[in-house]
Amino acid sequence: MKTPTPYDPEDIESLMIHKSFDELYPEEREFVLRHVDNRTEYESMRLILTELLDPSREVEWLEPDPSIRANLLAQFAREEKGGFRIWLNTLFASLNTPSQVWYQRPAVRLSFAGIAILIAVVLVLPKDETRFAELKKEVKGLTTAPSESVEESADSILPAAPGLVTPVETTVAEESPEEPYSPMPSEKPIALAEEGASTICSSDAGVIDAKDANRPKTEWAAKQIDAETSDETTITSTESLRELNTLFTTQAGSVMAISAELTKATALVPSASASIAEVGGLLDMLYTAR
Amino acid sequence: MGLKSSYHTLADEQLMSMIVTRDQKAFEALYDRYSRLIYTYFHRMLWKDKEKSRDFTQDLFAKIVHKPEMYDPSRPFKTWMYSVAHNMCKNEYAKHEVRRNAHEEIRHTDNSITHQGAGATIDRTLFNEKLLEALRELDEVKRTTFELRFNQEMSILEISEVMTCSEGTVKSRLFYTLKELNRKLKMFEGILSMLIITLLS
Repeated sequence: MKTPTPYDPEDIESLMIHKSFDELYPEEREFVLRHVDNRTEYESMRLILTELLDPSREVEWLEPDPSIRANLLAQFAREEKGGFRIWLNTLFASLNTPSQVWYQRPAVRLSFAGIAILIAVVLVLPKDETRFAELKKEVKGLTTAPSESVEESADSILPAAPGLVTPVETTVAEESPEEPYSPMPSEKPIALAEEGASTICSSDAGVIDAKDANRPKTEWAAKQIDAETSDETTITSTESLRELNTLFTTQAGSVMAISAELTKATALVPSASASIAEVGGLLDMLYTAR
Repeated sequence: MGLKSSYHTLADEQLMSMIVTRDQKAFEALYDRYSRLIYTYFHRMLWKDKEKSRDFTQDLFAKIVHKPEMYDPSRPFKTWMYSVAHNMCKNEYAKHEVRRNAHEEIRHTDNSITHQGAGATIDRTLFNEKLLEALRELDEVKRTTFELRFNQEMSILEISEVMTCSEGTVKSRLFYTLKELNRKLKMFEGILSMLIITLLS
């Protein structure tokens, strides 16, 4: 029965590196001869190993093509343009660098900075509730007397710039300020004109007076704008609107004249076509005669 | 110049964490450090095919460019990179039925060794050449083990991580690789005896 050797089979490499066959102890030699055939093999293997591990041995290193480097750097540049990314597997490692003291680690520093900012926000900045209360008061003040403030502002502006602002006349509408939306009226004339109501209100759409009351659409538009604008007051510019009205009337007259001319021209078309037919008949007769 | 040299003094793992944050200089430093080693590794492992070695080197570094998050920071970068390279080679072997090609190469190499052995000049360079030729006859596992140990000068522990096996297995593989090489280089006993003399002197 063989006694167990204190060597593992893989340790033969270290034996070869350090001892020649003759230097081996009997138990080592016995172990080695279980794996190699004889002394010669051991020595030649040892020689190869020594040669391979010799630091002066020159290993031929090949230089890769420089185009590989250029390609990779171009790829890197393209990848860089792709956008900002955070790799989670390295995020934790970079935030907890083990070489630093615990309080110098980025994660701890960031946490402290975050807490400090939070405290600053809570303590330094004013509370929002007071600001909301102030706003509510302001809104209440505005809603209680809207008409007065509008009139006051109009009076204060007009004298300040007499040359720039065209003269306007402000009148208070007698209608209800909260009149509901009314649809566009039909072609029937407005009752206001028949009743002789003069210059009740005016707007960009036209002037409402007794003469121009035959325009129901204009009246309707004026009423709509009146309902949409200030509750009780309406600002009008009558002179400019009258000019526009006269211009529109003259344009309409010229359009009517053009349409009359066109009607005459269309009446001439059948007689012209008859004469063309006659000419055609004459040409046929001439052709047959020849 | 100063910036470049500072990058070149950083550890691989630090450079990788900088590459994750898209630091191009870090990538350049890492490429300059490993491109020759990796290219030579592929060249030796892929039948000295320059085109293939070129493509594989580019592919490996492109992985680092496009997916640096693949790298596990808990592992040493060098072993991680060589394990990726090793896996790429294994896929290539499987794809091209490497065993059949290797047998063809063995026959070819045998002839060339016999032919060149007669009257060749006995020196260290010749020994290295013959050693490389003998290495080509080995199977891919032994060749990889040998390449990583004696050319890339990796430790047994690093090789075990690259090849995902125990340290004992690596040592055992190295021993049997050495034994096989010894058998193949028997015809160069003259060279070996000359080497003994050179080493002793």
